[in-house]
Amino acid sequence: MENKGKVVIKIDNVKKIYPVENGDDVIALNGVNLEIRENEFICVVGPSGCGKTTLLNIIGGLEQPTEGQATIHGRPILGPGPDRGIIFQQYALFPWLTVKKNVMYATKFIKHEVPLMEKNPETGEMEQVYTTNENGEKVPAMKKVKYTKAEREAIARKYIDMVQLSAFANKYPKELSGGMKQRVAIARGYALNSEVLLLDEPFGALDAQTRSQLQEDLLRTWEKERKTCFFITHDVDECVLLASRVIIMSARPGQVKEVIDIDLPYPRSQATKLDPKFQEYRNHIWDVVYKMYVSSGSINNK
Amino acid sequence: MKDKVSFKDKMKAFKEKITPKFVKDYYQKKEDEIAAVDLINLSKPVNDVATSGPKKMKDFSLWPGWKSALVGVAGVIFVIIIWWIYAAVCEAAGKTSFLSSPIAVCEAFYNQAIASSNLWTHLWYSLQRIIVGYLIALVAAIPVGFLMAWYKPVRAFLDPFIQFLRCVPPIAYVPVVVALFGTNESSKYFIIFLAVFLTMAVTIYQGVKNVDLTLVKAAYTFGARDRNLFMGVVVPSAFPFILTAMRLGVGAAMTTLVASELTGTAYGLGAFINSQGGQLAMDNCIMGILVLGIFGIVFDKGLLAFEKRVTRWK
Ligand SMILES: Nc1ncnc2c1ncn2[C@@H]1O[C@H](COP(=O)(O)OP(=O)(O)O)[C@@H](O)[C@H]1O
Ligand SMILES: [Mg+2]
Repeated sequence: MENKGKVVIKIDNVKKIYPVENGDDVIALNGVNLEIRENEFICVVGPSGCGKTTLLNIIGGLEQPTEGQATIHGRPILGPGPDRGIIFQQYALFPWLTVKKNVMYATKFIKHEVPLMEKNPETGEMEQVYTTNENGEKVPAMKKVKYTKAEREAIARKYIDMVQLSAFANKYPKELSGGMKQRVAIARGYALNSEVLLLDEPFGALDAQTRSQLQEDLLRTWEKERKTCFFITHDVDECVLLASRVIIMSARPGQVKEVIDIDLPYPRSQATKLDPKFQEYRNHIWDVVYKMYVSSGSINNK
Repeated sequence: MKDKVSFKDKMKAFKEKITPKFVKDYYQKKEDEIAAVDLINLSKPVNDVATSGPKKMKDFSLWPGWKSALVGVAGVIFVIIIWWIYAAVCEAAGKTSFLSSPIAVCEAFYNQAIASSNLWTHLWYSLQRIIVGYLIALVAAIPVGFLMAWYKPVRAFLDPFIQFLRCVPPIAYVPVVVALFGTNESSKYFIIFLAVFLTMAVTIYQGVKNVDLTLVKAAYTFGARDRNLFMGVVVPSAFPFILTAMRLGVGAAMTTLVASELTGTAYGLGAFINSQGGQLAMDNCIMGILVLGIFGIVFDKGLLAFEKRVTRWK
């Protein structure tokens, strides 16, 4: 691919073994290497059980690798954090909070920088404080503060509007359909404004129509913000439609089988699926994934 | 004798018949039958399910609330009528003391609650005991329930006691409680406390254990710390269980009230029911039981209304 961005997340020879009581331990990942660059939209496809969720959890800090390591900007990932937002397949909405409050939860703990002001003893007015940076230049001093309630509400409103749920802002999750819940989860994921967004089969449980709609919504937003995305799916069409780069994983043990740059121009839409190049990518990925199914015995097993 | 012999012979013949070859032939025959089915020319099933299918059960899911209430009221009236007839028959046979008639019970209520204030004095004593025992149990059960779910050693330590006490009806340890606490109010509080506490601690423990781990993970990814997690995720998740525990606790308090008032007191609804029963004053005794039950229903409905209000998200 042309102009490669700088590496954000690096997966370095990661192995993950789940100990199993009285049985063979499960090797979920074995020697996985991967670099996620700035402004990339990475899609991971592979047969179920090949360790996609495990890989996402390791990046998200919800699991630790057995061997190797995952780093973000060179620092090891030790746990979950607001620099890596996760959108879970099971939505993970707080059922006791309304849509608005759910989205506001994303900005509850994070901080942002504002100019550091101090009262001038002579004039009695608030003035910007200055400091010198490493190059010896005078720059405005900043301080880290939490978002105010009004700011959090404004952010929540923006993303609820984005997923077209303004009319449902004061409803509880139980009052929403599956597609609407997933849109809330997406709004909440976006409201966190993390550097990287991790999505685990977010549209897996939805009907075809809702899924197409949400794919388009996601594309529109990504084309605007170019937020680095790590998107898991088992839907080959979906991965070609969304991704700038596709990672095909193989099962038992989970490994990166093939990496494919998707050279289709953004903005994309469902119409992109008619592009002969799209068909080519799709057929190729299908071939690789299908062959894996056959050889693993998932399809022609007895 | 003859029969037995012939049965034995039959068994023997049967066993001889079932040789490996017989079994093999049997299955082969079945296979051949299946293979001989002409699938292509097999006639299609006749579609008469709609007309001759099993009769559907009546669907009551759309029944309005008032109909259910009506059935409930009708049931109560039915039982009262049966009771009335039974009492009348008993009275005709000259056995009045076995079951007072509904009229006699109403008269008893008039005498105890309107003509005098006896009933209210008893009720007041019982209410105090229930409230004190219940509140102490609630305050204790919430942290214990949480600790049991969060720290396995706490659970391991408490489990034997809880399992044991749940199997012993409160009335059984009345003498021990009297020996420990004497006959003053604390013995009553303690018995009610114990029953309510056990019920609540177990229910709250279940609730905290059932907290959805995905929600905990989600909270972490938004930057929540352990201390935010408790008030932000665990407590609201377990909240419906706490409310359920509170309602179950009321049930436990009501059902142990009578036992608690066996610890030497002349006052209280339970003591009243007991002493009146002992004197074969069945009208007062039944009246006391009815008041106790209605009192419990009112309590429960109050809590249920509260629960509905605060867990609209459920
Ligand atoms: N907590 C766990 N304990 C034991 N085995 C697990 C655990 N989580 C996942 N696995 C196993 O690891 C493999 C990969 O799982 P997962 O990452 O969920 O796959 P995918 O998301 O690709 O379907 C599977 O075989 C699964 O059974
Ligand atoms: Mg998965």
